[in-house]
Amino acid sequence: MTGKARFLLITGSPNSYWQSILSDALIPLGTLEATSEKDAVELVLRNTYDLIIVDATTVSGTPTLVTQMRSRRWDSRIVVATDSPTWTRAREAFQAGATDYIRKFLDKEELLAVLRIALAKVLPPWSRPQNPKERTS
Amino acid sequence: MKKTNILFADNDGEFLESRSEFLEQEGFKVYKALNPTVAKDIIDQGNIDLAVLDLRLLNDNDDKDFSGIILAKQTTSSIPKIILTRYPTYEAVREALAPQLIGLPPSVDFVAKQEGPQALLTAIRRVLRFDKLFQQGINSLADRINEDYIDARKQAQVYFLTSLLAALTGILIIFVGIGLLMSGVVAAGVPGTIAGVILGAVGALFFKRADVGNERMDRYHSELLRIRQFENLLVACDELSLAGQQENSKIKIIEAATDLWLTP
Repeated sequence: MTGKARFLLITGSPNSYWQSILSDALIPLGTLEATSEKDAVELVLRNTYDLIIVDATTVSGTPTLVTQMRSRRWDSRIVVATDSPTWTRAREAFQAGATDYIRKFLDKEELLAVLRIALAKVLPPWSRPQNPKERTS
Repeated sequence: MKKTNILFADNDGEFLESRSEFLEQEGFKVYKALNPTVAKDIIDQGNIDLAVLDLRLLNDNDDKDFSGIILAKQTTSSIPKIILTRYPTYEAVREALAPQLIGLPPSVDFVAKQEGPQALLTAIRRVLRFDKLFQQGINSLADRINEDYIDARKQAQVYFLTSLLAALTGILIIFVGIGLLMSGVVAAGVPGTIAGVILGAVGALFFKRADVGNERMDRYHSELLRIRQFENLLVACDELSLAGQQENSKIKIIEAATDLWLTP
């Protein structure tokens, strides 16, 4: 990837310890912004983010949020991060359209490696818009 | 009605028998495999509609055994796969359902054996419904274009016959008019010749309409051809030996079709 990537963290607990770890981990790739669940949809409509990270431990209704993001932004890469991953929640997240479902690693290197892979993923071709203008609408 | 062919791969023979029996009672034709090699052979034979793959196909006691997912990755993505396991973990779900770098996940659903036969049946029906909708979509589009093609052909034929009839009648009237003029019957010869010329012009007009009809026919025909080519190319992808090649080729075909059909 050339240029700096733009990341968005959707969290119910702003300025958390994990957010600071995430922010530090992402320095080589780009910049991290944070928002609440309430403002997320509007923000995602207004701006283009290379990767959206949903802090599933602090927001309610993660699958719904992921579906909303995906339906508003066909090209969203969405990673759901949680303190306590379970297989049923992982299934729900992927069925809602998540790109990945991860444990909230505290190790910066591990975190960076996982997010780097998510960022490199090619989106399925049928999710692309017919008109490039849709990206900014 | 043709039965849906399901491959059921599980190294637990007893479980394989009981679930296969359940699915057969639900109206499916079940092909059974006790290991990945047999399962791959059955998939490669090419008449499987959906595959249910046990996560640990080699060793139930090995928590690193993801052989079911490996098999899903190694075989064609045109056959939807459901991963089934007695040992569900979030890591396994991630491996099974997360999109790979190329964009598609190895499997379309993940079911735990503890969820019972009904959960598996629901997952199978959901996957088949999507597959059926896709095929129905393609077929109804092809049918619609075919109907339009037949309409356009009929219309073009009518225009052509009308133009031919009008032109021939026009020529005949012109000849009669000239004959009358030469015989000195000017009062009848002049209007007759004029009427013949007008009829000839009407014929030419209908001929032009027939041309438009033919163009429409050509357009519908080439659309029909494109749909068939699209289907054939997708099927041809499955004949490629490597799963990666299959995926790449399918993505290229879908992208090209998207550009062709949907870009204004």
